[in-house]
Amino acid sequence: MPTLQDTIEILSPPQTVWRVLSDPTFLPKLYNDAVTVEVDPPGHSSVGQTLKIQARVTGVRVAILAKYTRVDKESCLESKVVPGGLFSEFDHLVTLRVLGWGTEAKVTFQYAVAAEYASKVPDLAMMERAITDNFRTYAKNLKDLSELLPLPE
Amino acid sequence: MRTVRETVLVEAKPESVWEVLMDPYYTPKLYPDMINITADPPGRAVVGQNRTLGGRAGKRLIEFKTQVSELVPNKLFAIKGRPGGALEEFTEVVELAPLKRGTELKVTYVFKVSEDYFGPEFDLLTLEQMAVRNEEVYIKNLKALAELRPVE
Repeated sequence: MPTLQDTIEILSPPQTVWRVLSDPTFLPKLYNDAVTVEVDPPGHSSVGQTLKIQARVTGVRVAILAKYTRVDKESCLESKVVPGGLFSEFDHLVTLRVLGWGTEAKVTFQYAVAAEYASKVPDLAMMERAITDNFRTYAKNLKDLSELLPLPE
Repeated sequence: MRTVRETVLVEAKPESVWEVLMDPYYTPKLYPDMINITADPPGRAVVGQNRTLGGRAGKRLIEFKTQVSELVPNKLFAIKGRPGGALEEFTEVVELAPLKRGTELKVTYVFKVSEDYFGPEFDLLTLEQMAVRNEEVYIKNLKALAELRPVE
């Protein structure tokens, strides 16, 4: 199963990073190809909360189904696959650690494309590349959004 | 006040474009500088639905407040601004017309950046250019999303 890992330093405290990480409304901006997200129940991330992410990958519409399996405030967020979507396997783990006055975020993805999707997409290699591009840019997007500042008072 | 008008041919039926317009959760993908959205009441667009959008101006977090003002299924979608956000005035009108090969889409924006909201540290002309860029990209993204097809 392909595994991608990324570690990034974010110039914001873990509380700020967590605000982005634990709010599913940010997901379409964290994954470049995610379009919309539906969560059940609504609201901030909680264990057992399910996610349905609609995404456009290489010009086709796909769904990614997952649920949160670990939510440790300001330190760890984990989600795993729910069958029926693009992935047959999907583990996503983000851990946060205080680093000086900022935060170190470690991001891990493990995934496998479901056989039913693999047999139908026009170009599987291109889709795999698009998927890994999304995962590679996730940490950068998390940094970018976490480092945004409010307007001066 | 600034006015921006854009027209594009979408290779999809008006119903497909309408589906994207009616779902407020597409909005952060339509405007490049929008980050997230909350809709009240939640769910699909209804006249009077209030929307609060988190966005960015460079490295700063900003907010937009809008309301769905008119809906004519598969023909017209209109939004207006509410007080308190980054735009002092805002209207967005999307007109859909069926064509043989798809849909002709016309979008008209009228807006004014709020000086009170941003304060004296920001250059209003730069902010206005950022808004124009977002609006130009909006119609391209709307076309791309409406033309998406499912895996068969």
